Amino acid sequence: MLDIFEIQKQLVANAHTSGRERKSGEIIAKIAQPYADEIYFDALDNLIVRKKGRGKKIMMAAHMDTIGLLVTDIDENGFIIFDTLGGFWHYNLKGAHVRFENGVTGIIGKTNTEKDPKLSDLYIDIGSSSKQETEKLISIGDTCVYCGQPQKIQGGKIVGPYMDDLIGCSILLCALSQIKDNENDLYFVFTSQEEVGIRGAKTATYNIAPHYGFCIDVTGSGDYPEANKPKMPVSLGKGPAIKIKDGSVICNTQVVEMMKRAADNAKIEYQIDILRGSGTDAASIQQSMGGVLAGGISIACRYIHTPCEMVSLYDCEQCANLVVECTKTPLREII
Amino acid sequence: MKELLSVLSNLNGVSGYEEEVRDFILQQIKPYAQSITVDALGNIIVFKKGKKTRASKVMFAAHMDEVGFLVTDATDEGYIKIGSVGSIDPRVIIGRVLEIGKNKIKGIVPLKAIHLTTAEERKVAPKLKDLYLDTGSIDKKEVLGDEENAGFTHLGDTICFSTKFSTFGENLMKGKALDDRAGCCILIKMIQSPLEYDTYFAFTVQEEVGMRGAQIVANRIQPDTCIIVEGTSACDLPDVEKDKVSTKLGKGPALSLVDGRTLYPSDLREKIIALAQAKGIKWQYRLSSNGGTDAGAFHVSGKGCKVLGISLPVRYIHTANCVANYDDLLQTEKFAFAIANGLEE
Repeated sequence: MLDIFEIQKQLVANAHTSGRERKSGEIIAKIAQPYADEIYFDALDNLIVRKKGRGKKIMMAAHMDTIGLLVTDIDENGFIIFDTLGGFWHYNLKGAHVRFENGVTGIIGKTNTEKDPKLSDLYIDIGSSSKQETEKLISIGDTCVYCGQPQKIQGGKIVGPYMDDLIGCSILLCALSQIKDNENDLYFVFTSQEEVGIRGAKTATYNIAPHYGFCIDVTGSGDYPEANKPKMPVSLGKGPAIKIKDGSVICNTQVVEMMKRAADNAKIEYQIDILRGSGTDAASIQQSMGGVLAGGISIACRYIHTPCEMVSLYDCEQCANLVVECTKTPLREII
Repeated sequence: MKELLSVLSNLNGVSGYEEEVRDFILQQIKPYAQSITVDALGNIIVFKKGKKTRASKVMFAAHMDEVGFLVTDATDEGYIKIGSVGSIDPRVIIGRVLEIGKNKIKGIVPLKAIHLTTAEERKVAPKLKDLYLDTGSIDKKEVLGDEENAGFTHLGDTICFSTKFSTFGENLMKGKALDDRAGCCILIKMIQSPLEYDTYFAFTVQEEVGMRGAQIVANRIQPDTCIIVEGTSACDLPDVEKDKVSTKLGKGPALSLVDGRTLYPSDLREKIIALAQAKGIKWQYRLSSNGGTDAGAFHVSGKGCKVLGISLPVRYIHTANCVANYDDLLQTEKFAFAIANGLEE
């Protein structure tokens, strides 16, 4: 069985932002290879990993793209002007250490003393002393992601960038590695461009045409001082959270009930995820083609979309177990 | 090329009412295409045989519709109230002449003479609901008619800018709807010329109100690659901050990186850049990340496809007078041909 934390280290080291997921997908494909019957990319660079079965098609999705930054200009002194891909609070960017695809890294600086800077007040400093020097290394259209590696800390927690949603990918890979003799036809999908509008999942679902699908993604937790009010009734360390709804989707009750039964059967402690805003691949799965039954299983996460996020390893491991249990469900149970 | 663009620019085709533009385009392309379909929404879908077949389906797309207005009401005194189709800043129509319906009845959008306004009033830009068209009519009956007689217009009739295309300055052109009659112009030229490979073309409808035509074209044709030929915002004006300039006139066609609906794949873009260098075509990046094109609908429809955006830089899009550089138009055309004839798979 694959180790979630070890996988996460590999995925974060190879993190790529929306639109640049192909290289992340190739790493995931290598990891999935020994367990898969079929592996392929589609037109939007979604990675589809299939474990063949004679039963109904089940699609499980986690997105491999991370939020990131796109170079739009290099100023006359070699400082880099950028735009965001995915949602950022601009004040989180000041001081962040970022890494480009070619390995060059830099720090994000701010041109004024505003507490809440505008995007146009920020720039990336890669330490070069001229425009020519920067242009040798970085071009317009290049992208970068947060630096940093996942680390285990006390209380069974792990911290690091991109729990959203590389931890979802790690969980799916762990689940994949546990499954043998599956009756159902299983599609583990590592989607693209979720952070910019849940786009990859649309075409992935169309190509697979599953009977039902669900996404694994992070959700906000309510168990820390910085949490948005009203606080989510979800905490780290209380198990995976079965999604009722988020800002983009109301999960089909049949899928929710099936997940609860699966958790009870396998004696997996679970929570309930109701996220007031945001969006996940479940929405694109549900609204694809003529409509697909859809749900989600979420990992409680603190400090989402900041350079360092936090989840509970216990929640992740139990989530993988729940995914495996859901794949066993005879689909005649879902109308 | 200028003459063709002149005719296209002067035709009226507000989103949802593209007939005039569609009829002209059909006339231009009929002798040259192997198959032409007009679908339920009025999109034109064209298949043109080339010298060779291509391993995958490549499609070029441009939209026929322009932003404009609809007649929503008339006051008892005969002034016409209007609603917008697509996004238009109401400030750009003040003082302008607009034309209504098939008969192109002219009206102006007035503002009270300065003598009659207060300093406070002058600080605030009027909203569309406060503006109206003066066609010189004396009452509502003349405008909208009654049970016995028709008026010269009706509720829901379309209204366009009355701009006539012209050239000026150093190689500049001005006219309405260069976004995206410029794209339509280039596609017509491509269909009228011999091509290396079999190629699809789509003249879409209702792009300005949400890329609606493109969605159904994509579902029907399911191309593997789609190249959108558009008119995009150039903001190379004196009071604009450097990071908002997006594209400049005179620097050639603009290649899209990202916009509000699409991340343009970098592998396809790099291939195209290599083609441009090989053919000595001038090009620039489209540096803005806002707005949207038909690519937004194409790349996520059905099984999805790779997309590319090449655009003519145009100042003052969505106003009565868009301005573009004629050389840029020729380079954009050259670029489109290079892609059509250079993309082997």
